[in-house]
Amino acid sequence: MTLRQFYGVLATTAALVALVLVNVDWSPSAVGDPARTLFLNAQGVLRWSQSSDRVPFSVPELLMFLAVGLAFVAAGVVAWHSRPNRNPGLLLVISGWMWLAAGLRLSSNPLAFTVGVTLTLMYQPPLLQLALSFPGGVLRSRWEKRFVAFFFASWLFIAVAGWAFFDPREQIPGKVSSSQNLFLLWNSAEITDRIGNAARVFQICVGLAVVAVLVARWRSGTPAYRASFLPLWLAVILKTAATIWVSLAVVQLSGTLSSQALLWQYPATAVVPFAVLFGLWRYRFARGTLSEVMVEIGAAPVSDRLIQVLRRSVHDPTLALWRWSAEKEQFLDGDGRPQVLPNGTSGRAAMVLERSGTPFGALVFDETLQDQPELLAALSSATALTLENQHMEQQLREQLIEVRRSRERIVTAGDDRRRQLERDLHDGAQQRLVAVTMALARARRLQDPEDMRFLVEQAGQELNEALAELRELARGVYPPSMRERGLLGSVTALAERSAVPIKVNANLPTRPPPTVELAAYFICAEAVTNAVKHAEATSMTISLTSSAEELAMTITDDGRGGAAFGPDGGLLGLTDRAAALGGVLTVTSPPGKGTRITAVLPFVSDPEEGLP
Amino acid sequence: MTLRVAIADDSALLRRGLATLLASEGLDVVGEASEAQGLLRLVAEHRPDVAVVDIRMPPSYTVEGIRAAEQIRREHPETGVLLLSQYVETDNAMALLSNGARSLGYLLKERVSDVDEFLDALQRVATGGTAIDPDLVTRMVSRPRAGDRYSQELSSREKDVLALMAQGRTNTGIASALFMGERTVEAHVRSIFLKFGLHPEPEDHRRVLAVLTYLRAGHDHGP
Repeated sequence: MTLRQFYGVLATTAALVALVLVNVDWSPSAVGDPARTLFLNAQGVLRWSQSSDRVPFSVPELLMFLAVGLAFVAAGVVAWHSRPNRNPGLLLVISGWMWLAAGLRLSSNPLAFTVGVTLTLMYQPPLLQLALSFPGGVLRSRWEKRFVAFFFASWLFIAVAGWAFFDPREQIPGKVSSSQNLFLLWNSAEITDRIGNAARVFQICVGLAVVAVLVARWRSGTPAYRASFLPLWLAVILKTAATIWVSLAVVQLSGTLSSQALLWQYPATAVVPFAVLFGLWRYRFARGTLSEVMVEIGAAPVSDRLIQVLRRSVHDPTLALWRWSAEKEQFLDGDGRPQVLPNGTSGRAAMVLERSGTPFGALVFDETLQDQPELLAALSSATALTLENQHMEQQLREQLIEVRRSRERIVTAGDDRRRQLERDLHDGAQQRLVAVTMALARARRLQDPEDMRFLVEQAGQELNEALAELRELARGVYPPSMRERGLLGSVTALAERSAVPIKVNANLPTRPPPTVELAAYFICAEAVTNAVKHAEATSMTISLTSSAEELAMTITDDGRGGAAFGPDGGLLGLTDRAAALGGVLTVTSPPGKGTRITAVLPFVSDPEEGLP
Repeated sequence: MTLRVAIADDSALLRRGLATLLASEGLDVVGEASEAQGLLRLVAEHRPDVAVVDIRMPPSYTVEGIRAAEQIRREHPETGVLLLSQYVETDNAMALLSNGARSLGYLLKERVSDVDEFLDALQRVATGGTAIDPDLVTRMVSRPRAGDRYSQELSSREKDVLALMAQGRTNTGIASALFMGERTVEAHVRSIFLKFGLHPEPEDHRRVLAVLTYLRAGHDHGP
């Protein structure tokens, strides 16, 4: 509610009250005029006038009357102010204005009197609209709108019709009434009575229909709806009881008793705005619960429990949390079934939970909840926070698992490498050296110098081969040219020794740090080994480009492709090596189209990078 | 009498080298095998005096030689087995000697280069003796040990004698290696038996037991 609206309501109300006060005729004949008795229709006036010992209109009754009208307006203003949807408050305010305007019948001015009697029961239609649209204040279906419009029209028509054949001055015995009715067509007590009876039957029917609709809605309503509508039921029952009591009293009782009965309708009516306000407040009460269970929502670890907490917090047992599946591009419910967001006709509404622009879930709930954007906002942020937490936890878990796996793979790969190295030494150089000692041992015992020379030469050859093998093994442990000539030197040496022609394109204005150089070298070496051993490649290209922050490398071959991250670990080992430095390695290897390995290795590895 | 020898090694280079060496020294090489099953067939067929066996052979390249040696000792006790390896390990020695040290040898491969020593070891194994690599023995004897029951009781001379005994040397061999009289060696050996609490039994068996006791004491870190 804006300040302007507030002042508008205040000014209108003040003007109405002033108008009524100015118009009240306090002359003894006027206060005793039964036609000016508040809230009686034409028939009621007719019956009432036949009662004796009527208590004349008094200042206390005026105060009660004003208090009820102002209670409506005040409740309306509060509701209007505290709710995003102004309708319930506005309807209460209008109802209050109608109530106050009915006070004009206390005037001796024919126009004011006529307006007053016409508006006498017009405070009821806004209340009925409020009941039908409770608690949102918006009529949902077309028939509801038509029904309310019909209601306004028929109430107005009944009032006008009732007074069209009723001239209080003529019909009230003893000529005690001086009220002039501008609607008067012709004067007939009989028609007035009949219209009054017909109107009562009609009004009772309409009332019953409304009650039936509300009962149906009550039965299918959410606990939140029931909780909020309960005070209204009590008010309606009270008000109905008062109305019946007043009707009976006017007819059955006499004198001061019936006058007192008439006064009861003021407190009975005053209950209505407060009941509405209380109902709305009860509906909002869910938010209070929410703030209490916010902590619980945050602590709820499992989705099931989270759902239960959410449901309890907004008093909507139908509330559901759907998960967004990026693969299927659909929302999935708790059982994994694809679901479509409600479109507003099913009585359900949804709120999509987003993370940086992409949906990750949806809350689906009874659409009456939509009337409380703050509650929904709190609900969604609490849910999003919890889900975000779970998501992060899950991500961290996965990353931790991957780190553990890669750590294990790195250690295993190192162990495998050592084992292989021992085997290579054992079966290679060591055997050759033993063979050399054997040859020399034999040579020592030979007499013939010719034979001896032959054996020594043989031993020399074995020694050379052992040396070559040792050199190769040493190179596998650490590329010897790396220290002096850097990455390019080592890779060039690798290319020169390779059985496949390798073209090396290098653009290395900055020399990468040693760990990056070594990793890059081993990635190249492994790629070359794979290409020669498994892919039967006939040519390869190695491209190395360094910037101030990172080294980018691409290795392509024309082999048969189809390389995969198998359990044997060659490619996986490369990926781990790159990942250990905070880099990324990708392999594209379509069958028959060669293999392409790209890697980007940052010079400075930030261990915190990529963490959620 | 010419020693009849079978050779098993997965390295063709070493197999050939060894065969040529032994042949040139006048031994009769009855056959060569590249793995254990081939060796077992060879032994069954030719009944050689001694089989020179590489410990690591296909398929698993671990201790196939030891398994083959055990089988040969069970099935052909008259054939001695001399195991060759790039490494000598206490575990392997214990596994080999646990069923007695008769006709067994366990040497580093390069011991072949000292042809006389190697031939001597071959001869010992072929005639029911023992040949343990001095490296292993030195390692075992000189190793500092916690809770050692014996090393403090043995004099350094006795330790020397024990070490040579452990290699499989005879008293005569020990006497010549340590430049002392054979009787002195016998006295040391008796003293060692006494200190180890070994009762009078056939000499050979006690010698083996003495070595085993010593190796085990070191190997198990105490009694």
